[in-house]
Amino acid sequence: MQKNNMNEHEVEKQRKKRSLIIGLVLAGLAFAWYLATMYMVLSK
Amino acid sequence: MSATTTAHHDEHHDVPKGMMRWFTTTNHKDIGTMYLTFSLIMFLIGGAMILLVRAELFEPGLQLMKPEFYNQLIGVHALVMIFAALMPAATGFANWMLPLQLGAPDMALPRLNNWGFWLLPPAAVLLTIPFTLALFGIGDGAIATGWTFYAPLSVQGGIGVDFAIFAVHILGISSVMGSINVIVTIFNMRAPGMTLMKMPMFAWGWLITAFLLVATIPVLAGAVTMLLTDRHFGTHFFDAAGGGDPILFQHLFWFFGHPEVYILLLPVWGFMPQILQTFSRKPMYGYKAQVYSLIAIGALAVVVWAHHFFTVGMPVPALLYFMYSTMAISLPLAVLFFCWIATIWKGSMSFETPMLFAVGWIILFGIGGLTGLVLADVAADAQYHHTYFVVAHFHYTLFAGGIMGIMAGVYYWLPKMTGHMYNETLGKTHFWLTAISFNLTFIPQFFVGLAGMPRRIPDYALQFAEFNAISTVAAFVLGLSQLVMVYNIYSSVRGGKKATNEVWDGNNSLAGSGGLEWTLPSPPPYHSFTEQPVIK
Repeated sequence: MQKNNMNEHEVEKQRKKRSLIIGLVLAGLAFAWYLATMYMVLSK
Repeated sequence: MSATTTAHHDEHHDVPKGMMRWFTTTNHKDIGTMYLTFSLIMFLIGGAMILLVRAELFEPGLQLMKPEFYNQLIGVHALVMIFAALMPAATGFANWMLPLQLGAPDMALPRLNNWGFWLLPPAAVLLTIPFTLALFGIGDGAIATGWTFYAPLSVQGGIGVDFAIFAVHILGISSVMGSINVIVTIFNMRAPGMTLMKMPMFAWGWLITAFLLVATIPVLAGAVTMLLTDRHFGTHFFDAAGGGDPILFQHLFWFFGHPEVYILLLPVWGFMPQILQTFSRKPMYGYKAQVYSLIAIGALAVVVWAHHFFTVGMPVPALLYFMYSTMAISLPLAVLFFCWIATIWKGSMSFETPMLFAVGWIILFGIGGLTGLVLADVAADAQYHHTYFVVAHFHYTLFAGGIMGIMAGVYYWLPKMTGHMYNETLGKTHFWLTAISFNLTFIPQFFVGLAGMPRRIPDYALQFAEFNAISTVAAFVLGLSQLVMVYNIYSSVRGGKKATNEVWDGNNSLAGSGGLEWTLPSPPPYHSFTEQPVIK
């Protein structure tokens, strides 16, 4: 799961970075889906 | 599953004191406490609203209020109970328990967590303030369309609709932020060795809930944004007079609305097997079967929405598709029921308050599920649609299945959260008062619904008088009996018998299988895991 040669601080930093990336991707998908809903109705 | 945890020390001398602690906190337990407290307050407010409705329905004719105000009360009651009571309660548990169960120091995105909570109170104010404004002659009261915002009524309604549209946007943003936090926490913060198939069931329930929220809330937000532009910016998305399609609104609303039912229930289906195994003193039955069933229900939840409006006039193939796909949900749900029953089967059961609520929940939620099957039948639904049968059905699923489930969770985890045992006699009294008065409130509604009494109408035919009188008296008992729980929670927070780490006897032999929360002291230290536990 985690590389053994990393110190605790680096592991924590990596984990925070990964959290941010997953969070931003999900937020982006949610917002795109919100816009897509309206676009689909508009183009109906 | 076994876990090793290192010693913890409670270093929280740098915690802000007073109100600032609560405004600025990023601690998952503080935020969980705020969610649960907010939920309890809104539960009492939403309950008070519906008691006014039941008072009006005590006898035929109009006694206490105008029909417009009656409509506002039922709409805001539903919105408050769903968005401001049940959902925040489940989110409160997620905040409190997910990091503890997964061995994480906190939620993955703590600042987002704080923001997610503090969006809720303004949204609750937006929902309810039109009542107050109307007293001063501003506007004509709160939203009067029911919680479903159906067009064209919502296009033509007063300022209450605008307030509700803004409230739903804010609540939606809060829910999506909370969901993102849950997903990231589960994927990224689990203790080493805790694979997905070793996670506590509560984490599975919440993971699927969070995905459902991210998939459906944007659609609801899109629909109500278009409703707003229909009302104020000259568009005609849902206004038939301008070439729009009111049925389209129903499709969009229920694409969110049906999964919402599972959003409210899945967290409960997550922690309930943990309660059942604790008080049966044997491991939960069919862990994998339960996980796959939860996933199957989550997947089916987003493809069955139109059964909520069979009567609008759909093509027969559409009716058949939505009928059969809806009925298909009963298969994974039946697997869950069998697993729950098999968990307690031949167990060494004891009936403390959480177990009473859990067993009562299986029976009453079962009634909710079975009456849902009746409504999924297209031919039968034509008779029952928009009657009190539907009202009784969804209260068996959402009050018994949702709120009574949450109550089981409250009694189960309260000693862990506060460090004190609650009063068991009061807890049992609360259960029996709730279970009996709940049934006396809603069983009569099945009968008047079968006989054709329509919902959302403040007056009714004389033939329904007796059953409505019984329902009203029982509803007041149900409402007042919740004060027993409020007092019990308050007493437990203030003091009482000290709780052990495992709290419940049944957790001794099941260490870790319910989650890592039982390996921590009661209450857990402010910073839960100073060193990450390792799952062997």
